[in-house]
Amino acid sequence: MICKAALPSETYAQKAQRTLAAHGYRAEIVRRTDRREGCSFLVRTAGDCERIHQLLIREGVPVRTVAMERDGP
Amino acid sequence: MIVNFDNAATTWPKPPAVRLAVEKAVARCGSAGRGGHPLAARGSAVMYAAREAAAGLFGAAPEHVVLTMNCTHALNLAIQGIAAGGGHVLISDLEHNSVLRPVYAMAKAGRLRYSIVPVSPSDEETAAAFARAVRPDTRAVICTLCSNVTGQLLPWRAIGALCRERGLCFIADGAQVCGTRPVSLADGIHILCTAGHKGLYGITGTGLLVTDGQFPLPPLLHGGSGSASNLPEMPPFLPDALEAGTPAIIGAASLTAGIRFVQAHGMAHIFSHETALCEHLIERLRQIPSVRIYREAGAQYAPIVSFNIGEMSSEDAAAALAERGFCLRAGLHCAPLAHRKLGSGGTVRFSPSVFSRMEDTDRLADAVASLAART
Repeated sequence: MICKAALPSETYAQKAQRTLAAHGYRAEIVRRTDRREGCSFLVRTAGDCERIHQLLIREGVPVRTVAMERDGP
Repeated sequence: MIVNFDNAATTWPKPPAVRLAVEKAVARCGSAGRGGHPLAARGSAVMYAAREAAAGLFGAAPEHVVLTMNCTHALNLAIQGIAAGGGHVLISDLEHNSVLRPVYAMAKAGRLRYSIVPVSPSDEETAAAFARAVRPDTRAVICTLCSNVTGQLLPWRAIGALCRERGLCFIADGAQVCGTRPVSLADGIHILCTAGHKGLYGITGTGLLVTDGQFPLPPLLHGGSGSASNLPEMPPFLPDALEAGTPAIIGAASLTAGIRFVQAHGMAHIFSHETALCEHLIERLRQIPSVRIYREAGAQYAPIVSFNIGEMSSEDAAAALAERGFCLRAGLHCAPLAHRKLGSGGTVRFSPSVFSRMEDTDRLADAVASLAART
């Protein structure tokens, strides 16, 4: 299962990537452009979305949305 | 041979690891946060590494580390940001123009009122003077942690405690202590502004604003941030809100390497090495009757020594020392308040770094003695 978490900025994407790495997740940062916000970022990692969401929130990363890959963020 | 004793302006030489980091960043990085391709990704990683390094050093969250052009830029962000709400602020009588001028400009425009608090050799008296100067409309204390002229340390933990107790924002200018003394937001500082190119050994063009986020600041510059691009205004989150335009990635790489260099050597070791050089110079200069050293009993000092040679102007003395290969700064050091307090029209300032050597300090003392003998 691939989870995608949407973050507001590159800094938060970097923070999310390092936070996930510290908990054993290997995550990649993907840049995206959406119609509402414009430029923003995703971290993409294998794992349970709910668990990843909770982990990031707990570590102070302001996750916008999380979604499994097939759903899109 | 050039010997740099003007490290309070900028440290020179830079550590080999800093020079290497610069070279590597130039060779490998594109812009940061502006694309998803590998060159941009490397740039972004470099920027975040600098935030993480500074956050670790000063006890902040990485996203609360704003990379600026220099300490003056950081102080302007903080001071003009706080001034946007009006009210009254306190500054000390040892401030650099990087604090005095933005405060004065805001006051001149009718947006802020300010009082200047006298710093005493006694930390207790200084802290009490700040406490007495607080008024009902006081919103912030903006002060240096260390005079860039004399090296006198201010009791910033006591000032931080006062600010916490009275609900004031404490904006600290750490340019002359960061890298030699432990400074942390846990000391009661809400917004720490510092240079990246002095005691942190990064290259010129680097500075930091480190905040606990309790006092949000509006942007000074508006422009691209690589985030929330559909908004017509700067993003509402840090650090993007205060970082418009392409960031200084090369500088950020140098800053990370510089901070790691400081951590590897240990701040206590750096402080004690530089202090030993200052004490040795003072001991030598005290043997020259016409030399005046600007230090007061009871005060605490960072490794900076200001002096004058008889009636010789500080600029003439520094020029004569430069002819002998020694780089020292003369004049007002952009700190007219401090010189007014000292009653001096300028001093010669000795400021060593971790690379400075005792034998060069001795040679400098010999050179001062020889100049003094001519006056």
